[in-house]
Amino acid sequence: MQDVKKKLYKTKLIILFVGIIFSSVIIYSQVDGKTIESKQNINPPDIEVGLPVRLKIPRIKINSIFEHVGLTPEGAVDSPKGPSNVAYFTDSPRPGEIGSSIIDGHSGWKNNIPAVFDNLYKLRKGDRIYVEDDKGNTITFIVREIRKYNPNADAIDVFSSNDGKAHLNLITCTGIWNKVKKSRSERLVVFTDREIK
Amino acid sequence: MKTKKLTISILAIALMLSIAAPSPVQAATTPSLGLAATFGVLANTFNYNGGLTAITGDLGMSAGFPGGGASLTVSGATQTNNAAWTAAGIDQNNTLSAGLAPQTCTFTFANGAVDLATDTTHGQIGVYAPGVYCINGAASVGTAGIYLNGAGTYIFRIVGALNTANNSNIYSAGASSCDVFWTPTQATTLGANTSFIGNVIDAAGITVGSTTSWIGRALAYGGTVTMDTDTITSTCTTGTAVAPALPSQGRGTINVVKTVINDNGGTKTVADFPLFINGSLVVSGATNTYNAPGLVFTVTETNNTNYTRTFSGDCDVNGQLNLIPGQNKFCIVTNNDIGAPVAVVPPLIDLVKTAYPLSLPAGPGTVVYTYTLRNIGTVPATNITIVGDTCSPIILASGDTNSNARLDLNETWINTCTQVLSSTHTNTAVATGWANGISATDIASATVVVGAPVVPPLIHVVKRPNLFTIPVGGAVTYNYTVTNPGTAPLSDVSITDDKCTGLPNRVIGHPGDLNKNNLLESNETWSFTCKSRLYTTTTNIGTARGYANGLMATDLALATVVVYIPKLPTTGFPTKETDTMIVVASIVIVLLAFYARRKKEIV
Repeated sequence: MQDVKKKLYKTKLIILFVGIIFSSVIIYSQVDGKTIESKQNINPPDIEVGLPVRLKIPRIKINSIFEHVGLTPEGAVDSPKGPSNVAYFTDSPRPGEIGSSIIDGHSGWKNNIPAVFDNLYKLRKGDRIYVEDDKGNTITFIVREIRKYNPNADAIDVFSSNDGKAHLNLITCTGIWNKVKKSRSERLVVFTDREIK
Repeated sequence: MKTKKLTISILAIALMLSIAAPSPVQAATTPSLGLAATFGVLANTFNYNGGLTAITGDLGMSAGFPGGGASLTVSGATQTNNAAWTAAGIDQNNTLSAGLAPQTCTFTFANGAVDLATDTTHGQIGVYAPGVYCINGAASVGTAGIYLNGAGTYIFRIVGALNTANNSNIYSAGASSCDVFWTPTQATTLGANTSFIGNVIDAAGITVGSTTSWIGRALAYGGTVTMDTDTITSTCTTGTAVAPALPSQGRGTINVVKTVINDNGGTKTVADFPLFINGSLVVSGATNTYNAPGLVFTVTETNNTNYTRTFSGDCDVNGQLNLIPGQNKFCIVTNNDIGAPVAVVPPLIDLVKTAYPLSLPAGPGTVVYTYTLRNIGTVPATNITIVGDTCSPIILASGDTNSNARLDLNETWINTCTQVLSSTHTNTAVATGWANGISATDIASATVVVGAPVVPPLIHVVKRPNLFTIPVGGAVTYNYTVTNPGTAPLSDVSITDDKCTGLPNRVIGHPGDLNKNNLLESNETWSFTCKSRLYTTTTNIGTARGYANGLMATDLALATVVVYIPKLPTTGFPTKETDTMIVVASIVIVLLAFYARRKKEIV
C-alpha cells in the first residue's frame, strides 16, 4: 500500500515537473520572432496625419498615451519616463506617414509594477494596433512580423523602409537582465503595416 | 590705241580673277512672314496642358480649344478656321518655300544628326554667327545651349526633326528673335524648362515642354502645336532675357568647392583633399579662368580611402564639365567619412553678396563688394573663411559682437572688399564654416557692368532643411527663400535642387509676386518647399536663377543633412518574466528537496 502511494506521489511529481517545463517552453516560444510576412494589402493613403496622442492594442489591453522622445547622448532612441506611457521617436515619421514610425515602451518595472509593453510578445500576425493623433485621426496598423535583435545590432530595417508605405514598429526589451549593463539581452520589435480600408 | 589695249588687258585680268576667286557667300536675309507675322501660335490643332500658357500675339487654329483645365491667355486675336487663319497659313508656307528655302547654305554639317551645342565643325563650340546652317539629319540642342552671336539673320535648315534638351537655352547676344528661323522637315520638340528663340516653321508639328520661355513664333499651319505652362512672345526682341554675362569674351570660370562631412569620427579638413583641374592644383572656393570653349575639364582630388567622394553642381559624376564663353561653373566635391554615421548636427551658413555701384557706365572705376554672412543653422560655426576671386583683402567690418571668431546664431558678419574694375566682371565668393566636424559652404556672385548703362541682376536663395539630422529613411523638407537683393526686376526666375524633385523650375504665378507680373522685385520674397526622403547623409545644392537687362543672375545654396542609424532603445527593469523564472526554479528546487527528503524518510 505504501509502495502504491509512493509510486503515485512520484508520478504526480514527474507530471508537475514536466508540466512546468512544457509551460515554460510554450511561453518563451511565443517571442521567438520567426513569423512570416503578412499578406495584407497595404497601400497608405496620402492624408495629413498629426502627432500621436494615444496607442490602443486591444489584444493585450493597452490604452496608453504618448510621450515624445529623441535620442539619448549615446545615440539610442530614448524611452518613456515611466512604465505606463509609450514613446514616439520624433525623428521618425509620424504614425501613418510613409516610412517607419518608431514607438517604444517599457517591459518590466521596479517592484513588479506592470509596464506597458509587458505583454508585447503576445502579439501575433494580423493583430490590430490603433494610433490616435492630435488631428482626430485613428490610424490602424496590422502586425506583420515579430523579431528579436541584439541591442547593438545594425537595425537599419527597423528604422528604414523603402516600399513607399507607412509602418509602425514597436520596440521593447526582452531576454536576460544584465545587472552590469542594466539592460536586457535582446530587443523585441513588432513590425506593422498601415491598414487601408 | 595703247589705252584701249591696256583697258582690254585689265578687263581680261579682272575677268580671270573673278573666275578664279571663290564665290562670295551671300549673307542670310530675313524674309517677310506676311500675315503670319502677327501670330504667336499658328496651327491646325492647338493643345495646351498643365498650368497657365501665355501667348503674346495672335493664335490661329482650325477648331476650338480642347479645354482640359489649363488656362490660356492670348494677347492678340484668336483666329479659328477663318479667312485670317487661312491667309496666315498661306504666308507661312510662302515664307518657307520662297523666302527661306532658296537661300544658300553658309555652312553645311556632315550628314547625320547634329548636336548644335557640342558641334565644333562649324566653328567655336556653342557659338553661331549669322548665316544659313544646313543640316542633313536631325538637329538637337544639348543642355550646354548655344549662342546666337551678333545681329543678323540665322536660318537653321534641318532635314529631320528638331529637339532641345530639358533645361537648355538658346542665348541671344545681339540677335533679334525675329531674325532667327528654324525649318525642320520633321516634328519639333522643345524640352522642359528651356529658353528658346526664333520662328519655328514646321508643319509636322511642334511640342513644347513645360515651363518653357519662347521668344518667337510657333508656326505649324497644317500641324499640331502642343504647349504646357509655357510663354511664347512673338514681338521682336534683341538681347533676350536669357543672355548670360559676357557671352563673347571667349573665357569662362570654374570654381571647385570642397565640402567635408565627418559624421563617423573622421577628422579630415578641406586641406586634406588637394584639388586639381586637368591636373593643375586649385584652391577650394577660388575662381579659375580658362579659355572657352575648350576641351572637357576634369576635376580630381587626392583620395583618402576612408572617405567617399561625390561630385555635384556643374560637374558630372566623374568630375567632368564643359565650359563655354561667359559661363561661371561650380563643381562641388563632397567627402564623407565611411562608416555608420552618428547624429551630429551640421552647420548652415548663408552668404549674400552685393556690389556698389552695380554698373560703371562711364568706364572703369571703383566697386565696393559687401559680403553679408549669417548663421542660419542651429549650431555656432567656427573657422570661418571667405574666398573671393579677384578682390582682396576681404575685411571683416562688423558682426562678431563677442569677438570670439565664431559665427554665432545671432550674429551677422559684414565683410567688405574694394576693387577697381576695368571691364564687366562677375565676382564670386565662397564662404565656409565648421561645426561638429562638418563644413558648411555658401556661394554668392555679383556682376558689375563696366562701360554700359546696364544694371545687372542679383538673386539670392536661402535654403534651410527643417531637420539637420534624421534617422535613415526619414523625410526632410527643404525651405527655399528667393529674393532680389538688386534693383532690376528679375524675369524667368527658376529654382531647382540637384537632389530634391518637385520644385517648380521656372516660376509662374507665385503668391509672393505682389504685383502679379511674374517678375521678382526687390520687395518680394518667393518661398518654396521640397520634401525628400534620405537614406544617407546628403549635401544638396539649390540653384536660383533670374534674368534682367540681358544678363543672368545665379545663386547657389548648399545644405547638409546628416542621416544616422539610431541605436535600439533600452527599456524596462527586471520583469515579471524573469521573476517567474526565479519562482519556477525555486518551486522546482523546493519540490526536488521535498522529494529527496521524503525518499530519505521512507528509506
